[in-house]
Amino acid sequence: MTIKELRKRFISGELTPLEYMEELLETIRQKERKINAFTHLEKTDTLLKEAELWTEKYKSGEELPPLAGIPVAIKDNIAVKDMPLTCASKILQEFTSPYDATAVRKLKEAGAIIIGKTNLDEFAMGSTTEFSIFGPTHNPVDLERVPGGSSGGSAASVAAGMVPVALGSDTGGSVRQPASFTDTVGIKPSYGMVSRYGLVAFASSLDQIGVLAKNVEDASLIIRVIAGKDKYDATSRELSVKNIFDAFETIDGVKIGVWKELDNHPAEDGVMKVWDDAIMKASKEFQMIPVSLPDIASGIASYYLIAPAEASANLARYDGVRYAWRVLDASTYKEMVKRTRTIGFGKEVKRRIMIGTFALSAGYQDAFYKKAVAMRYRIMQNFEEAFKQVDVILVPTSPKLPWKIGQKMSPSEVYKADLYTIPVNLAGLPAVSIPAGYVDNLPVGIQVIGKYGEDEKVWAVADKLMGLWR
Amino acid sequence: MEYYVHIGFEVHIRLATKTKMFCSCSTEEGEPNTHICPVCLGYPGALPVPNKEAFKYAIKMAKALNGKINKTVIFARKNYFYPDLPKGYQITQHEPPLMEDGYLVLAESGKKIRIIRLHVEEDAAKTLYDSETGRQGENAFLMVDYNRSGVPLAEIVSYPDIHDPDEGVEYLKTLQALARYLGVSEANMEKGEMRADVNISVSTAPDKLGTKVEIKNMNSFKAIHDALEYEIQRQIHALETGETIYQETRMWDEASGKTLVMRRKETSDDYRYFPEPDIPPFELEQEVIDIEPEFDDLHKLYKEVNSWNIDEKKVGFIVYSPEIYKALKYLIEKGVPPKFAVSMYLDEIKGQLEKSGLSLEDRHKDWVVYLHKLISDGKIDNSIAKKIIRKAISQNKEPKEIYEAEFSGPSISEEDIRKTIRDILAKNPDIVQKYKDGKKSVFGFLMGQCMKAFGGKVPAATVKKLLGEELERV
Ligand SMILES: [Zn+2]
Repeated sequence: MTIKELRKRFISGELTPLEYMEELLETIRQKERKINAFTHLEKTDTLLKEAELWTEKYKSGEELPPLAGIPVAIKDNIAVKDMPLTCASKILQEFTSPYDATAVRKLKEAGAIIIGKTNLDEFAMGSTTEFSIFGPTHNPVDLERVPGGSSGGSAASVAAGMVPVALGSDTGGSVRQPASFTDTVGIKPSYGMVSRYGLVAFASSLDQIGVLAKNVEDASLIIRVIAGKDKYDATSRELSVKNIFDAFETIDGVKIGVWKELDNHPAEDGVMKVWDDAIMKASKEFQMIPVSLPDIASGIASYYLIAPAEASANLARYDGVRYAWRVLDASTYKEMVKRTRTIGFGKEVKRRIMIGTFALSAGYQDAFYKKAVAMRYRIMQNFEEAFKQVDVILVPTSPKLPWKIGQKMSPSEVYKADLYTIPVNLAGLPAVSIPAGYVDNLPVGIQVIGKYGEDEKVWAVADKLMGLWR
Repeated sequence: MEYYVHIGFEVHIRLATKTKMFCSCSTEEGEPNTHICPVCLGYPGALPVPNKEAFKYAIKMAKALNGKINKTVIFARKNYFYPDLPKGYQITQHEPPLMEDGYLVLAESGKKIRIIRLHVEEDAAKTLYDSETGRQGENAFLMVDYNRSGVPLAEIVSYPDIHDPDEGVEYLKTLQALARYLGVSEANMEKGEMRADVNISVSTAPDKLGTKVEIKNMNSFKAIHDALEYEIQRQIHALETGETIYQETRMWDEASGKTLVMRRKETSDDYRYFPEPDIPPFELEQEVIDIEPEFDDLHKLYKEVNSWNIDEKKVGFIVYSPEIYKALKYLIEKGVPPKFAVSMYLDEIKGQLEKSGLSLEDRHKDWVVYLHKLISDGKIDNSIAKKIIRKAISQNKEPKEIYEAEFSGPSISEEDIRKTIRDILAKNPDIVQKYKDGKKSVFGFLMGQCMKAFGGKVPAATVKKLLGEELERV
């Protein structure tokens, strides 16, 4: 059931927000113990009371905000007032947010019910949702496998039917890759479309709040609600979106680009087979044009310097001085900070802080950080060139199928799995990952990437393609 | 052996905006930790949004320092850990600064001190140490007041063009006065609105710099002067005895009158600057770029005040006190002679107010204009003017009220004045005789008798003139 359908039923009284909430809570009761999608669930009483309130209001027939009574889950690196904001890290384990993120405030104003916070890799650094103090999240498609990451909790909660939509965040693919792994839709908007105020910064120039849902319509509808320039985020912009319940724009004559160099950087065989089928099907409806993006594979090197560099500064505030957890038995300030950070951060987070600090340090900044930034501009230019010929570009979402939880992989192997998603963040572009097929019952997603600010077009094409591939 | 001293300053001046640099918290003083929010506390997820008002203040100072203005603002992160630094980095203009390659003309000597740069940044919070928290020993710990966190600052960095402690203080006083003339900052050192770190080196060749030593923790001009004196002697002594001078940061210890080692630097600090990704670079608005400072060269003011032919000792004080300079200038433009303006406004009014624990207000300027008019019209003299001032202050009234109630009366005609004088002369024939015999010093006694009789209602000059004439007639 889409959100539009839900709203219709709420209005007609065929289904009430209270009945729907009870349904979801029952699903959560049955599945959550095995999936572990949530780091925090709002109290059942509170949720039922809120749902009941909306039920009464629908009965009264008054005009209600667009998401009245619709439950939403929020990734636990986005601030919700009076709820924990842990980033799945020991260092923020005791932290409760005193304020709402702008995106969350807009959802609440639109009538959404915040059901809880979802699991992630610590500070959104990872692609499996295994590196969490709350333990790994399991993929609803196959419980032995990872749901992807870092928005794995949001993806799993949607995939398991525990919530219709969930907010995630996407720094290098953290919304799109879990969408691909859990057979859901993941939207990463143009950089600046959604305010980052209240999103705990990982890499500020790459981070963007996104949405996970079962279909493109639901996901895009949430973006339409939370988009807009925000006085609390200097990087936010007013990018055009339609009214919340409007139909997608028409896409007659849209030209679809297909990444030419994929053969040089191929995905696993199974993924490639789904890809080939999908392109074949799409070519019956659309004009398909091969486009060259010669440098985007260098995105990994660029990203794994820029993101840690920014993170090394963004995570400096977790020093134990003002809030959250700290070691109590240190005798000096220096010792307190050192030990709090040593114990409070997990291994992957510390690895990235070290890399970032090194990349920015005097004598190395030119060779690492500045080169990475130069490469980022090359990648932007690659896209600019390609978009002279086409309206959107297709690239697989992940070179790998969801792997087993606990599978041993070196950090560089894991980083390489972000090959297809990272360039989009480096260029600040809008993209959607949509389900494109299966290999041995494991889902495969494909990304639709668009020009900066043309998010609506990307969604319209993605919606159409998803219909073809299903 | 001759020694050559090179002194340079890094001065932080708090810009007088109502709200902080990157959030909308108030910059006013208040109970500790009351003007705070997620942004200036560095809470997870909070973002900085630049307060462009700060540049309206900073641009005045930047232009008054005569350098190249960079219209593109790029903020950077300066990374280091400190309890008073909530984000673990300070947001500052790194490259380019708002202004580069400028100079400041010292007010008194007219000497040019070259300025390397002026840039805008956020202040850190304020750390309260044991002496301020009242906790000692086992209970001692640092306390931090975040009200100051994120307050906008302009940092002004000079070349080491200064060669002695007096010149150093003159530089700081000029800078402080300039900030006040421009309305950029109150720049009170006691309140931390102006803070100066100094670097100093002593060498044995005029064109060569010695080993650079930084000194921190000086909260007054006197402390800076004393610290520089001490440090120059310490370094000369080291050079003479062959001791090593280390490149280090020292702290001025007021109690012992010494500079003490804070930390020694083997290499320069690495702050790992990089562009602040939360704030896209922006161009200053045209209305900001177009702002012109009303003052820049305080030495010009110094020469102007000097030309007033007033007590030399007061010239510096007037130039360093914008409110007083502006008031005197106003009076002079109204036709009040400079000497009279200084004596009434500065010595009398300001002096009397301070005795009563009060301070100058704008209306006091017009007191001087009023009293000067009465004197020019021959209605009162200087001593009556001073009496009126005292009464006005002690009775909390306007001089006009005092004059009209006590000194104007029905005005006495010249004939009545002469009559009274003649009566007094008639009563003192022996003294008049002495005067006639050539003992002119008795004039003062007769003058006193007359003044008493008029009760201060006739100006002394008039009495003097008429008394002289009447004596001739006797
Ligand atoms: Zn604030």
